[in-house]
Amino acid sequence: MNDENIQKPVRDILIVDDSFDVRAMLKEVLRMQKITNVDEARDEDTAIEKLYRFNYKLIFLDIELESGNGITVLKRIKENIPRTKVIMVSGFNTPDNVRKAIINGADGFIAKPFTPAKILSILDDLALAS
Amino acid sequence: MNPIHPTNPAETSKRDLNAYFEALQLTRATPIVRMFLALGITIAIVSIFHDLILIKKYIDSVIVVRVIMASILGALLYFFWTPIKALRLSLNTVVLMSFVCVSVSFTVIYAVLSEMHYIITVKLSLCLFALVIIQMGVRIVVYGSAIITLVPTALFFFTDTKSTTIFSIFLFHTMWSGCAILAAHLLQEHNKRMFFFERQLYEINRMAVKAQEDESKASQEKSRFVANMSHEIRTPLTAIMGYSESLINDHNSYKEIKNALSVIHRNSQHLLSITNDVLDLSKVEAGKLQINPEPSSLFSVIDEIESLLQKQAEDNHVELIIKYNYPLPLDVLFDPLRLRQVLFNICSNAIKFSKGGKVQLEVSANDNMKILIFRTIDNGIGMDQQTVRNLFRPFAQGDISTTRRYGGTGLGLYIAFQLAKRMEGDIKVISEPGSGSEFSLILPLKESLDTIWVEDKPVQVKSQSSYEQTVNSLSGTVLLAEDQQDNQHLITTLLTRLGLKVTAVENGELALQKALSEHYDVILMDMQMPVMDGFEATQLMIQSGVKSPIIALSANVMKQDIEKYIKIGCKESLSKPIDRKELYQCLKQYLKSPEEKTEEPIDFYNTDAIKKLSRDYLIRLEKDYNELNDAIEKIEWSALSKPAHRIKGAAGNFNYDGVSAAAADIEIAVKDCQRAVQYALKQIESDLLSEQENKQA
Repeated sequence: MNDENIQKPVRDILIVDDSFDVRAMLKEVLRMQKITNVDEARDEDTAIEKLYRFNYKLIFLDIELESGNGITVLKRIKENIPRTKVIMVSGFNTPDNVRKAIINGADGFIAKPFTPAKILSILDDLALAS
Repeated sequence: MNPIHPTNPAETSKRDLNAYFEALQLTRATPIVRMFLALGITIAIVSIFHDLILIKKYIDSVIVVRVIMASILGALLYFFWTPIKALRLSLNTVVLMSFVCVSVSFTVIYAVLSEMHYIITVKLSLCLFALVIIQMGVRIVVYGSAIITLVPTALFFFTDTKSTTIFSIFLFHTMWSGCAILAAHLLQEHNKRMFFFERQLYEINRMAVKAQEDESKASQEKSRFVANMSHEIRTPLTAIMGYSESLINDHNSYKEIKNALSVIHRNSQHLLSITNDVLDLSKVEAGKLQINPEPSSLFSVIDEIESLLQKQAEDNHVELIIKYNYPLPLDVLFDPLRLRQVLFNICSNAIKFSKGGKVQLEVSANDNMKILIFRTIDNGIGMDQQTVRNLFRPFAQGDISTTRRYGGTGLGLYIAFQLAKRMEGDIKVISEPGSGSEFSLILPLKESLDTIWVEDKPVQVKSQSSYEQTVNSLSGTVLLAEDQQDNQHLITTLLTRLGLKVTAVENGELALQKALSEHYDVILMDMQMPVMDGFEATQLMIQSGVKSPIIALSANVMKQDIEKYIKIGCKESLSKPIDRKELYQCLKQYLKSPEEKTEEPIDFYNTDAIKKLSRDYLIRLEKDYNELNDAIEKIEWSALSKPAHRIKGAAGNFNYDGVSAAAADIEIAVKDCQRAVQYALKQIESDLLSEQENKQA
């Protein structure tokens, strides 16, 4: 993902989360909004690899990954492809965590467990909903 | 010595001061002049006896002169002292005349005793010295010198032929006069300087005394105001506390309860208006009273005043009449809030003081349609001129007994007057005791671009909706962050009655967590809360992409506070205590009514796909659960928190809220346990260390 200007295939959304269920749930909500162009990654390495191959409009990024840390991924994304929107997802929704995400350039923050309506309102704001 | 001071020293100019100094000089010299006159007479009389006994040779020629001199001096003394004003001589005249008298008589006497010319020159010169001692100023000394020099010279010229003697006398007197004039001049300058210092000291002293008086007067007024305020606040509080206590303790009928509640409500509103008055007063005193003119309807303001005052008028058995003198403009540029406040104060004042009478509010446009006049005429108790003058001063009411009888803080009219002045207008009062008062609020009429003049009152659509109509009139979800439990409960009730789904939390951090995990149509945020205040929570919400409109709730209603809230991203600010109409009007902008809501929200948890996912998840949940159990058996903290965290996130997403909450509890418990164990371990460690050290020692 070193160069933002390199022509890469554009996909809608990347979900980075170590929990299969969260990924499945998010994907289902997105599918209902007719967004099927969705990729998944369960750890930092896979996420980086995906980002090398594709350009995404929006990334849902978990902070507590089993291997790796969402904040370091966020930093790398914002350094290299700052135009990509990143929504942080976290089960530790302490103000400090929120602040850390915002300082590092996150475009939004969702606390786990979230409701589908919350996801919808985020998609609405980014004009990605159907 | 009694210093005399002009009646108004502040206005005395420099020239006046000089004149005043001369007058003062004369006044101070007066007793000394009297003394010298008396001394002169005594010397003359003593000399007569001296002559009679010792120098009998010249007695015939000398004694006559001495008697004449003594009697002239005596006459001068009398005319100087006489109680008959017309005969009284001025000090200057007395002094000069006595000089002439003394020099003539001395010269004559010593011409007779011709051998002793030089003695007389010394004696006369001593008289000049007396003038300097008396300190009557340079002018008198100059005149005195002239007399003392010229009179003997002239007399000798006519009587004596020894010209060298005349010349030497003349020379001696001239030199002596010069010295005397110089000394008098120095003395006078010195006196003048002392005098100015004295004046300054007097001025400073006078100002200090005046400042002290002012201060004590102001503090008296303030303490009277505080006493009034305390009385004013206690009165409604007594009703509120009494009625609420009876509601808590006694068994009341429905009607009694309703009555008690309405009394409590009315008194609370009264308390609120007092608080607002005090706030306005502080703004007036700080010069921060804001006027925000906008095109507004004259008639709607008057209508509001009428409806606001209706109840008070009924209670006081006052007939309230509104009279329009057409033509009147429909829309004018003014601040409706402030105009309402001023008119309300004036009219409510009129109603207050005319029990059982009639109050008329007359609205007219005058002076080529350039000014608006709101005239309130009542037939109440009226006021005398002194009261009218004191009317627009803060803290002042007619007198204390008026306050006792009619209530009020004495702030209303003062604030009204200040507001009128800020609106470039004025309030005029005509009143007489016993025959009622007439208050006229005169405002400049500023037409907006499309002002229409009407000859009749327009039919108005009543915008105010009764509270009953608002029940279930809105739909949506609201997050309420409010730490004070009673308030939280009250607002939740109000919102629920409006038909809204409310989630209430008690601090900013919880509000943030809620807002980040769920979507709300509106967020109501108290600004002062523990743990994390509304200010910070709002900032974090906005930064983390929460797009729901956030409405600030705050007891701070100062303009700069509200501006601060808007600046960080609040859409609006509502002041506490919450007015339900205001709350409704505010929420209406952001929420839809149930009829408007066309699209049904999709129930995600009922779709087949999610159901299947949910079923699949149960299998993994079981796995996680087993993992948890294993970890508990092995007492592995890190192994416990991982599946717990996983369950918290995933189970919640599939709407297993209970499971999610329990997992969250485990997560917290694990953390707490870890912390407790670590703490205990550290304790053991330090104890061990100290034990070992002891042994070594």
